[in-house]
Amino acid sequence: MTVRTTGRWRGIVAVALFFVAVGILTDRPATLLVGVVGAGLAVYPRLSRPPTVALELERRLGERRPASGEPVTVTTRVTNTGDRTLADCRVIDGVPAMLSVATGSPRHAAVLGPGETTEFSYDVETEPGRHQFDPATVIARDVTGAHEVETTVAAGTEIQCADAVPELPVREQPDGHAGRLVTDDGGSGIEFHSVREYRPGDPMGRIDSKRWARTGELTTVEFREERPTSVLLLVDARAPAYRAAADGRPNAVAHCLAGVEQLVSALSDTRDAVGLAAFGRELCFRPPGVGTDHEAALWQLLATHPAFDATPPGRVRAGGGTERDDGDADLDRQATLLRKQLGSDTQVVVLSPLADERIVEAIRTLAAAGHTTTVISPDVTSEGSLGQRLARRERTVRLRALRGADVPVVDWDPGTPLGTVLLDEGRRRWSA
Amino acid sequence: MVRVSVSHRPTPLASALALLLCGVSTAILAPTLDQRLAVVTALVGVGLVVASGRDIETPVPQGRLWTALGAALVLGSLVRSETLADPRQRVELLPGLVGMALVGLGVRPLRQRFARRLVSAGLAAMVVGVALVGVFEAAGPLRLLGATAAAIAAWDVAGHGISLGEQLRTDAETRAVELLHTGTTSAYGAVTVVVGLVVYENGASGLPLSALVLLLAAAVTLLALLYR
Repeated sequence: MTVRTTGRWRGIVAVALFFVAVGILTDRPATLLVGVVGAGLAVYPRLSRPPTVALELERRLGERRPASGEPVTVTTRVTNTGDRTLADCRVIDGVPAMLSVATGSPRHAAVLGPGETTEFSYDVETEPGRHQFDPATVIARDVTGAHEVETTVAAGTEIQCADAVPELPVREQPDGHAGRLVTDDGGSGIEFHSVREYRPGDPMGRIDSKRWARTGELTTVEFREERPTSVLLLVDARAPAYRAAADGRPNAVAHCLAGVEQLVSALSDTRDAVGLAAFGRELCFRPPGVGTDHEAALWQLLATHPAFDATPPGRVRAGGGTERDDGDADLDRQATLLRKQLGSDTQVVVLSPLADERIVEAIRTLAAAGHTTTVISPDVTSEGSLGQRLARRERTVRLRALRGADVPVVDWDPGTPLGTVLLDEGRRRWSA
Repeated sequence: MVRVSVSHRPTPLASALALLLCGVSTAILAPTLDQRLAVVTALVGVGLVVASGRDIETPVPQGRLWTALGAALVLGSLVRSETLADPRQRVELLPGLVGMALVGLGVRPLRQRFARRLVSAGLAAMVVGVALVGVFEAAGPLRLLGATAAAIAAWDVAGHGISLGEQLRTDAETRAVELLHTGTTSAYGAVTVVVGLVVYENGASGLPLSALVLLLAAAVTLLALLYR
C-alpha cells in the first residue's frame, strides 16, 4: 500500500497570496478579502486525512471453462469492509495480460460507504490457455483529492480455455540417454542401424549370433539410439519485449508466457528434461529436470517469479511512480551468467518477439557456444504508421540474420494457436 | 478481433461541470445582459469544441465542422466583448472568456501532456480578471469572492476529470465520484465565501495600513507554514 499526496491544491496558495498583495498594494479591501477565499481553499486539503482502505473483491465469471474465442462476462464486486466512507475509490481490475476486453470497461470509480458494494462487469475475449487474474489495483482518494492511497486487492480467479501444444519438435543433437529423439548414431535401441566389427566390451546380446555361426566372425549389431533431450525454455522479458500490436492488445511477453505454459505442459508428458529461464528484471534460471516435483517448481516459478510478469517494467503505475528500469546493460551480464550455468547438452528454445538487436546478439552467442538453439518469435508488429512498418521490417531482417546464423526461427502469428504453428513447422522440418 | 479505442481524455461529466463553473465565475463578474449573452455563447462554443474533439466515432469532416463552428462562436463572443462600449464591461468579460477557452482546451485536451497546464492557465486568466475588476471598479466583495471560488472550483473539477481520465479512461463508470467531488468542492467554496463576507460585514473597518501590512506578514507566515 502506498500513500502519497497528490499536491494538486498547491497552486492555490499562489492565488491567495496574489489577491492579498494586489489588495494591499491598490488599497482595495474587497480584493484583499478574496485572499480569504484563496487561503480557505488552500487549507481545504488539510482538512481531510488519507483514506483507510479495507476492501473485499469478488469476481464472477459467466463461464469458467469457455471455448476458445468465446467472450466471457466478468462481474467484479468490490465491498468496503472498513468503517469509513471512500469518497473516490477507483478500481482497475487485473485482467489477465493475454485477454483483451471486448465490451465494457474493467475500470470503475465509485463512492463507497461502509459496507457498501459496487459492481461492474465487462466481457473479455478468451484465448487458449490458463489465465490467472491479477490483483485489482485500487486507488482511493480523499474527498479533496489531496491524498491518494494505492493498493491491490486480490481474488484468485482463473479462466481456463482448452488448448495445448501436441508436441515440441526438438532438434537433432549428439549425446544422451534413451528417449524419444531417434538419432543417426548407432547404439542400443529398436530400429536397425548398422552392423560393425565386434569390439571388446560390446554387450553379449547385440552380437550377431547368426553371422558368428555362419562365418565365425564376431560382429555387433547397432540400433538407432533413442535419447531424451534436455530443453531450456528461455523467455525474453526485457523492457523492449513488452510490445503489443496495438494498445489494449496482449503484449509479446504475455504471448511468450502463454507459449511457455503450453510447452511446459507438452514437454512434461514426455521424458525430456525441461528447464526454464528468463532475461528481464532479473535472470531467472531453473536447470532442466524431470519429475513431478520439478514440474510443480516450474509452474510455481511461472506464477511467481518477477521476471515472468506480464506487465511491463518501468511503466507508470496508475497515478505516478515508475518501477525501476535497468535498461539493456543487464542483458550481457544475464546472458553470460546463463551460459555459465547451462549444461552443454541442453537445447535452448528462445521465446522472444525479437524487438531489438541485442537479443539477436545474445541468441547468436548462445548458438555459437554450442547450444542447439531454436527461436519461437511471436509477431506483434503491425502495418500502420511508418514507424510500425519500420519495426516490422527490422524484425524481418533480424529473423533473416538468425536463420543465416543457422538458428531456426518459428515466426508465430499469435492469432494462430502455437500448436498448429509448431506442427506446420515440424512438417517442414524447421525452415532454416 | 476487436479494436479497442483507448481514450485517456478527461471524463466528460467533469469537463462539462468545469466549463459550467467557469461560465458561472465569469457571469458573476459580468452582470449586464449583453455580457451574459457573450458568456453563454462562449460556453456553447467551447462545449462544441470539446465535444467534437472527443467523439472518435464521428467522421472526421463532421467533427472538424463542429470544431470550427465552436471556435467561431468563441471568437465571436471574444470580439463582442472587445467591442462593448464601456471599457469596464470589457475588463469584466474578456479575461473570464479567455480563461474559459483555456480550460476548454485543457479538458478537450489539445495535448494530453499539457492538459493540466492549460487548465491552470485558464484559472490564472480568471484570477487576473477578478483582480482587475476588484482594482478598477472597487467592486463589492460578493462578486469577487463568488467569482474566485467558482474559478477555483472549476480548476479543481477539471483536474479531477483529467486524473480520472488518465487512470480509468473515459469508458469507465465514474459519474458518482465526479458529482460528489464537484459538490463537495463547490460547497466548501461557498462556505469560504460566506465566512469571508461575514468577516467583512462584522469586522472592524478603517484599519490603518500598518495593521494591514502586519496582517499580510502574518498571513504569509501562516500560508508558508501550511504550504510545508
